[in-house]
Amino acid sequence: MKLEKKLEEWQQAGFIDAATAERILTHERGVARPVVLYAIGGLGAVTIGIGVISVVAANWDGIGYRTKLAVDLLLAAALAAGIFFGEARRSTLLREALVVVYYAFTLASLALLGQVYHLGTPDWVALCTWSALTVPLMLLGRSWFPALVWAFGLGLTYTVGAAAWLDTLPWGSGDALAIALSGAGATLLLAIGRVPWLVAQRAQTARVFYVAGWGCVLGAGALLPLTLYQSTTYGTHPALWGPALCVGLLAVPAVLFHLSRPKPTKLAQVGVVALLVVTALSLVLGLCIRHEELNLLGALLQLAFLGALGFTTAQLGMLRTFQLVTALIALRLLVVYFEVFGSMLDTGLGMITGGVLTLLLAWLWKRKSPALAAQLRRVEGA
Amino acid sequence: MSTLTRKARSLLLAAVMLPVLGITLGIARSELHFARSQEWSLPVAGYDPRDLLRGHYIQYRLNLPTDEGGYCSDDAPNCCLCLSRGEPVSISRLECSLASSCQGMLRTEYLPQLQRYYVPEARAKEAEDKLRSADQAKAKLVIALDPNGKPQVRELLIEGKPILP
Repeated sequence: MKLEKKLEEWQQAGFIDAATAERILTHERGVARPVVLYAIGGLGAVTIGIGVISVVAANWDGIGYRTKLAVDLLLAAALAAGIFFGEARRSTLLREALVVVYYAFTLASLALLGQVYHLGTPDWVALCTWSALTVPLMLLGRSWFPALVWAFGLGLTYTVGAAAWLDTLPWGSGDALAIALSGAGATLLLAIGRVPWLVAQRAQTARVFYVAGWGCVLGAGALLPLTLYQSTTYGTHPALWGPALCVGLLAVPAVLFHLSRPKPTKLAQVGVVALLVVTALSLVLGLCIRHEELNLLGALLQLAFLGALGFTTAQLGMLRTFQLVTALIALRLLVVYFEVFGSMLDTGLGMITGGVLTLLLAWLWKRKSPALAAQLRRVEGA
Repeated sequence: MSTLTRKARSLLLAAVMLPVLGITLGIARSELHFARSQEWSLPVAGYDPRDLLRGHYIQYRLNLPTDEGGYCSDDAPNCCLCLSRGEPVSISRLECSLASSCQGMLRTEYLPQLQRYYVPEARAKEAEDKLRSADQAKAKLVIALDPNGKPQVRELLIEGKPILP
């Protein structure tokens, strides 16, 4: 709902007067403007970056290769100069936009080199070179947008590099390594997000990496139960060390969460541990043990994960996420009955039970929400 | 104009110049490779007509002797092609330590990189048609081969002329 409409409602309900509404509106507009500005600036920067890559892909047919390379170098130097002067003059928007353009341009330039000299370099080598050359450049960015683009670029480099490595291994022998590398990727993102210099000097960059790392962990926790829907009786099985290492790596987010500031409450920490335990369980049951199709267990683990997520978000005062997770749990409960039961009678009974459970959830939500809202406000205020 | 300290300015300059430096080094490395290399023309054996063009690349096979009866196989770590000038070029497989005395030495680990040739998007069809209609025996790949056996593609020739002049 738009802020203006909400303020009007609060004014009519007598919670705030017209002057307060005006002050809130002025404050929010002042805060919101840079976000919109950065979003538009970032969008423009990415569009230019993609445009540059497209021009290179179209390959400026008819231009001699030396001219192409000279123009490319000149453009790179111009971008470098733009960022240098943008930073020196404290022109934040210019710097942030040019950093993103230059990041994409560097990749396009490496592609151009590959085309002009027919290098035949494997993709992972080109991506690793790109990522190595642009680390200091991307550290110049201070807002979330370049950080997001950077995290995506590093993720792509890591994934392509890992896939190339796995390709060199005999078929089936890389499964354990693939699982371990997935866990290591998420842990790396989390670790980068907690590098003290980054947290102190580039708070938004650190935050983007930390959130992206948690996104990977939570994504794995939400999706791993689905592996139980597939029988592994006839498939190959990864060696145990891969999933074991991955389970061990789950301690990293728990420790980082414990160390985060402001210190999370005991219950929030319990919630996070529960989330990670369910994720580890799904990993072990889904990937380490030979099993038939275990749809019910998969559904229960996914529900347990969502339950733990809901509990944790409530403890952290994340009201909107908590509401979203609650809605997901209700939806998931209904889906369970379509998945688990076969005959019409079973499905019908299952749906009735599911509907009752969902209504119960909604009733509990209605009955307990005032107390919960008060609790969330306390957490937010703490 | 600037409120940056000298150290901060130096770091900033290094950060923005590193990609330029990387691109420049990439160009220099390739030009240096060409300068210290010998050119060799390898015969192109043919191609799969269903899969001639993949993305921006023309794919083909080089006409190399089979590795049966040779001293090593292509996937062995120290296997090289021993090249001797002539028409056609004489090619045999040897351990790289022995191949260093050949007129030209090509490490077989690089062979996969030689089997595709970049063509600009706008002229891809033209290149494809040329290769399809040409006598396959007259297609040759020109490579620049450095003394360590590392190749770099220079040109794809059809009947002695570049595929895209």
